[in-house]
Amino acid sequence: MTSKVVAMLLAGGKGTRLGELTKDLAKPAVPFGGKYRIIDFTMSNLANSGISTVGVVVQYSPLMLNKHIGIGKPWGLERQTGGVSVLAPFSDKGGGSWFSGTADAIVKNLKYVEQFEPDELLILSGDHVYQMDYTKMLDFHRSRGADATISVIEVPMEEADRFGILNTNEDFSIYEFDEKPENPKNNLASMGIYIFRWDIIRSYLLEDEKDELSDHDFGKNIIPKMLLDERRLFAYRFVGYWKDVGTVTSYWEANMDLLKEDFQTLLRSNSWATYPNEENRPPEYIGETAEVTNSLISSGSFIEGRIEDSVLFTGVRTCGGTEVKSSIILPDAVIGNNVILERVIVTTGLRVPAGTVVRAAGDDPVVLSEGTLGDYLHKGGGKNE
Amino acid sequence: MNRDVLGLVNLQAEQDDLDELTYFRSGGSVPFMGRYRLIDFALTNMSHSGIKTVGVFAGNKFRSLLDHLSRKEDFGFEGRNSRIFILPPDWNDPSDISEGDLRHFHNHWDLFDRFKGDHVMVTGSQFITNTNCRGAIRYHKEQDNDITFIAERRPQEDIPGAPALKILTEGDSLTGFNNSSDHNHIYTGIFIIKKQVLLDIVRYCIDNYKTNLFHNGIREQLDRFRTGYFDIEGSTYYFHNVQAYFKNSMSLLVKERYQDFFHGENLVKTKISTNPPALYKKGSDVKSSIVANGVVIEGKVESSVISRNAAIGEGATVKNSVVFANCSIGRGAYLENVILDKGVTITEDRRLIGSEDKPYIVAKRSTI
Repeated sequence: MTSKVVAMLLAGGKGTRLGELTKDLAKPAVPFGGKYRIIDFTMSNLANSGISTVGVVVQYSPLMLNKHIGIGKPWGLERQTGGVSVLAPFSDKGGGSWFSGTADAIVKNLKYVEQFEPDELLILSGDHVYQMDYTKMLDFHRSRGADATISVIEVPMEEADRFGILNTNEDFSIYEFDEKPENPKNNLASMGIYIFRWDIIRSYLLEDEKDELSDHDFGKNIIPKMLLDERRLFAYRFVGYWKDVGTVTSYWEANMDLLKEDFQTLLRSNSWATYPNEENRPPEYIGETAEVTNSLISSGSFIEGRIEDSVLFTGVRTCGGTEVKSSIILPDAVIGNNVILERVIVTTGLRVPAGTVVRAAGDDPVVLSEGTLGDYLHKGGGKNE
Repeated sequence: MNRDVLGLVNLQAEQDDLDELTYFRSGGSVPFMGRYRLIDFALTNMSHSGIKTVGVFAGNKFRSLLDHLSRKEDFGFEGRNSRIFILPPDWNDPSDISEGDLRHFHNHWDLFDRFKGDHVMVTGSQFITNTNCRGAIRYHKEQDNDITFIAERRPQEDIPGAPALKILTEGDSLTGFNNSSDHNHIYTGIFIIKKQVLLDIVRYCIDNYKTNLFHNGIREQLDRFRTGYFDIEGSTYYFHNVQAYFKNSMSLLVKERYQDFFHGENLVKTKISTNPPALYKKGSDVKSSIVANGVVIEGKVESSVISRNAAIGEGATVKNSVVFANCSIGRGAYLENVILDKGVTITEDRRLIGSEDKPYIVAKRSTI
């Protein structure tokens, strides 16, 4: 590659809507799909796209995330030049502050980006489940001579009002950006993935930083400003699976998608592998009383009882007489005898006592954690039952 | 820490006698329990014993071994001063008259020369245990032995047959070895030796045209050394033939034994490879089995070991069998008492049935 790309992966999301799942964990570090964390999809995309200079910008509860990312070894991204750097909010002579917006997170790390003298800046977020070849988007960006390229995906028209919608001309040049429009003109939603010409975005970032009224956000401030200046902005259309796992329900749905025949390549592609930060655990043991159907089971587990339409993470134990249906059991949780779980997410390391019955009644799955477990005990059933 | 003990896995001294399983790989490279290879257990034992430097004397069939051991960190050998040296046959010394496994000792003498410590722990790969050798090393040092042999006592009804050696003792020292099938004091094949003593034995063997370090230099010369033995306690398995291999696999499929062996304090480490969690499709029926990453099961599996990325088709049955990595078992096939080596394809509705004493072995990458 003659042209140099630096990727900045914004992994600072608090993930408030994931509730108990992000209690002590940044959203990108939330376990997903049996042995992965959400950010593994983006990290694997980078590795598979051959982009090896990556700044991972962290902010909230970064302990687990820092250890998980390290120097990028699980994705083969550890390099003598470039490589993966975890970028935490830091202080200098002027004092320190947290990142106030996506654009601010880049400005505060301007020196990191500048040292590589890049031609392009690739902005990513660590919150999405998808498989994408960034080099194709980069080729598109270059072939259009674009100043900025925004990746878009078609969403159902009736949901378009939940997204940032890009209105484009026939050649996919962008003439308007509608953030959560009441009456969307089309259904091309921004995926929060941007490629910028570095020399151009640099000046926009510095200018925006001086504007005290700005939220310092790419979608809200930088892109509209570039449109106003009639810069060359293009939409790159992505076709494939893409899911924002921002809520408990969408998190549950995305995990359930992994069980569907149509989405098997999310974990099982020969050409586009998804890499976790693998642990050295023994193969799972499926016991004498186990009945496992349409489920993912991970290493280090001991399984008894009936497991149906569920995703079980590493080191999980389920005991005899238990029925787990349409549920997600996070790492090292222990499910006692004769427990019934239906549409439940059991948090990491939780011990669910024998006889516990939890069935999600409403639309949303129940998150069972240290904090909520008490609600379901001593009642012969759950409040949702 | 036992930084002053050099670990040596001497695969050259072993027979590759696991039939089809060792036609193209050494005994140490034979896959076991879904994701491990036999050498992992020796290396893990050393790592948990506090040993930081290990040499592996590889025999001729070392390709799979080089690949398997390419990342020392995966095996718990972490840090700058921690090393695994893989030493294949490499003979260039024109004055070399050494024979048998002495050639390895002679030609790789730098390994011992450069090592600063005073002791060497020598193991093979045909014995595995879930305990470590810290106690044995401590005993060896305390007793100031020249050689300490690591042994175990087994119940009379559970004595591994030849070629597992038994030891004869008198007080704290060792007087001899035999192959008697009713003697229950079993030699594990591991010994700890002073480096200087090892050096002298190697010299003696080479100068006298001996071909086997253990038998000619040690077993036949026992009274020349201050010897001792140390009995370890833990689960142990011996792998001297395919029957033993198969029996050991089935034995570890008992839940309590599997848990005790693999989830104890000496966690077995192996090469980390990346595969998705196993997928159990609708209609799958799996019982009393271990299943590795990347497996996709649609059929029925009972009391079997299913290794990485194997696929078991709809309506297929796998019973009392060991399936290695990347095997594909077609719809409606029936396997019982079978060992499938890596990458085997079983076509639709095929029936293969071995016996408990003589499992049916299918060689690597064949299609049946």
